Amino acid sequence: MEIIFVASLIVLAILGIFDSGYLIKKRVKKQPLSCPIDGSCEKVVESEWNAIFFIKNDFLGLFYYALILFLVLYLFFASEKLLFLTKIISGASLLFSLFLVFIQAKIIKEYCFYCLISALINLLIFVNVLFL
Amino acid sequence: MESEIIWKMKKSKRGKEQSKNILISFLLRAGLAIAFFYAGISSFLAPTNWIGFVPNFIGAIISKEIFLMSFSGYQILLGIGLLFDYKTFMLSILSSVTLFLIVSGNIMSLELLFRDVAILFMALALISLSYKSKNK
Repeated sequence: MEIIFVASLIVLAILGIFDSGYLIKKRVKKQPLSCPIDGSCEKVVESEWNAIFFIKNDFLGLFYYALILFLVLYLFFASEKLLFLTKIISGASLLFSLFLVFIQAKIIKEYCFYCLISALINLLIFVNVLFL
Repeated sequence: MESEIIWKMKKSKRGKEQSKNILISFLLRAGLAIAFFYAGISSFLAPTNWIGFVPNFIGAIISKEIFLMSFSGYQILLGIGLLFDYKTFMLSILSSVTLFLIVSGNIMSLELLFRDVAILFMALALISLSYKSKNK
């Protein structure tokens, strides 16, 4: 297992945890998001698309990144048995991210910076997992 | 009425400038944090790949392995602090000093470390940005 991809995956998972953690913190404390690009982060995160099966997307993201972190450490230190499962999970997550980007572009017609960052992280996680 | 329009224009201009600064600061902090995270995590997972970069004089004071592990922890903490936007001005100074010491301590391997010079300048840009925003 190439160390470069393992280390990159850990870094990406940590960044993802920060990204989704920031969104959760702002939502729980009911603080406004500082949106650094032209677009309305609030409009996106408060839209009807902010949850799937009653679970908020930011929480789903946090769980996913924590799971990826656990899986990568398991794959590196214990066994490579779960590699296929990791590929499936990261692929499904990428598809879900692409769906959410599509929703932002076509339905809400606003972009959320932190959601786009999350989609980029998911893409990079998937690419790295493919090379493991 | 006119003054209100001018005030609103100024306000939106200031708002745009502010969000631009937020984006620049975020990108610089994220870039630095990624570099520190990667180096810290990779040297923790595969210390043999990194032990060669520890200057020899450090080996005379403390075991190189212990130093590398401590340095990994320090880099990860630095990355976390930068991502959290916690005392960014101080942390960007610390990042610059760290990167300067890494580059100057391994100046003979500049063909491997020349990108660290670019990261050092990112940290210097962050010092200037966070200092400015502090005084505004």
